[in-house]
Amino acid sequence: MTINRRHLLVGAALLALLPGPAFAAAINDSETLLALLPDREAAARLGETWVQQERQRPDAVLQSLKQRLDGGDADKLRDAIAEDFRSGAVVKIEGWQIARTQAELCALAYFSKAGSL
Amino acid sequence: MFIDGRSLPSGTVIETDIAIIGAGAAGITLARELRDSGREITLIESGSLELEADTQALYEGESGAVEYPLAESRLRFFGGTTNHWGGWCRPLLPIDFEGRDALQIPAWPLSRAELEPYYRRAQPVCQLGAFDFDDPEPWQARTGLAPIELPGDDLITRFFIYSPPTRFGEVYRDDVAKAAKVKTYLNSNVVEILPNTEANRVERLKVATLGGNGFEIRPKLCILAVGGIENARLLLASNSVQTTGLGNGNDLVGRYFMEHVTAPGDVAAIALADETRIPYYYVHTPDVDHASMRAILMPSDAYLQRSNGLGISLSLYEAHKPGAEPKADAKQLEPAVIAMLKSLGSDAERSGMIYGVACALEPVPSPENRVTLTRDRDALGLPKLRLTWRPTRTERDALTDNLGALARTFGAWGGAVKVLVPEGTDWADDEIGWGNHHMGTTRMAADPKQGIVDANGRVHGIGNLLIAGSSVFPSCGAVNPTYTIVALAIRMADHIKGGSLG
Repeated sequence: MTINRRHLLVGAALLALLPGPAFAAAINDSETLLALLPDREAAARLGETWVQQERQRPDAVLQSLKQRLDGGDADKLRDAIAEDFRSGAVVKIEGWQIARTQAELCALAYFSKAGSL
Repeated sequence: MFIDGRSLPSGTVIETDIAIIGAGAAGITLARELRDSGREITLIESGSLELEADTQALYEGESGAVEYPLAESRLRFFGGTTNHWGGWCRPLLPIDFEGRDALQIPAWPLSRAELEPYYRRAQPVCQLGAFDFDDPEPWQARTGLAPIELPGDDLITRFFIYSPPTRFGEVYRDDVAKAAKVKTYLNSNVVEILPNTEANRVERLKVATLGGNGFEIRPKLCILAVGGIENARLLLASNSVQTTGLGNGNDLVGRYFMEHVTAPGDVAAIALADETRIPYYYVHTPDVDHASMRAILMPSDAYLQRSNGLGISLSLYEAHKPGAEPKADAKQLEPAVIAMLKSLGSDAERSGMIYGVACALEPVPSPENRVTLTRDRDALGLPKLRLTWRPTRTERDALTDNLGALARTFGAWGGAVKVLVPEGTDWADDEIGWGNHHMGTTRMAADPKQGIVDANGRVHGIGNLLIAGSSVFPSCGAVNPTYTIVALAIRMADHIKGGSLG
């Protein structure tokens, strides 16, 4: 994904609030993970609904994804989704039953879009 | 030979070896199977060869819970309800015969293995092709479609074979008419089965017509085969000697009515970005030997056992493109789900599709779901019936559990499932659908305190009264009943011919 002007503005605003190294790490982590979602707009719609439904926090979502995906390549993502469904880690969004990893990625897309990271 | 019962002088007495009451799937099958047995067969049908409104009105009754279309879901003329049968055929699963104590689903007093040869003989009767209900290879050979290797072991792929459907009253009319030993009385309604004073043997059948005349049939052996609801009604109304109803010494006649629970619409939607393989589940094969097939999903035995779940048949069809129904999905999450799925490795060039999921759910037999008589009477003076039926919370929870299994299975495979049935709630009236499958009201059990008929269909305590049809099912799995009705009728005819049923 290319960083656009909006991302830079959001980043600049958050830089004023966060310690420099921590913010940079968060942006790097989230960008690596969000690269798994080419259509972030669509994912953000799902993510927004879930965040509003279950009051997810950006740092918790990011931390959880880092643990689950550890580096974030597509194979790990597929494995994590399959494991979620096997283990019952299923999230319900307006009737849609999706893997928790999928929901967290969508939430991350929403947080990114909203400038909450 | 067909005889119009309205033409007989009142008071006529007909002696016969075997009286079969009702010319539907069971009755016609029995008559055909017994036509060369050397016995005189009398087949008694309420209707004529075509639907007539005054006869059909004899089916009217009351609903005690869910508003149930008693007069519309059954047909009362030669061929019975096969005259509007959908043709879905599949044998019950072996586990369906075994019972599940935790759900109070009784075992059948016979096994699937015992019924298997009769299922195979029912195959040509229902004009089906080969016995390919479980093997994917013949179906794959016909369609060229590869099955989905579903992850996990919750769901399995099985097949329904469609009868054309066989309209028994048309397809087998000549067989019955030309059989030398079979006399069919049309427009003839048995209004009471009269036993001896000990109520352990049927002596006479009192017959009335809408023409006003009446006559009597004296059979050596009587087979009641007027359908899953009407079998109970006629036994309850046959109360001149046994005042609670014939065969009803244990207050069981009419109880345990079962229906396959469905929904008026879909119960789930499946979103897939890559729809190349899903047609396996909704494409019908071209006709092969008059029959076509379709694949369905069912829970595995392992899933049913570990979840204490109920059986279900899940059928899929192509519904719409994502976002094509914005009113149903105000937040436009469908296209968002598809886009997310594409992001996760599916072929992004494909457009994605939403698939509808319909179901037939196994019911739990409940004594509160039942047929009783009312004070109102029909045009022949027979008490009308009240059907009290409502699916229970157990069935509701089993349905949402099964849909959760569907979601897990397709989710792990690369799709996403939207469950359209809210969890943790009871049924709202407008959420209840049914299959027009009437079962269980004279159920089969080895113990007379648990059921009306024994494993061979003989009424406990009444040596020459047999019951055929879906009213004898103690449980019913999640498959349509007609094919099993025919298999059981063939089996009953064999036992009669072998002398074990009189």
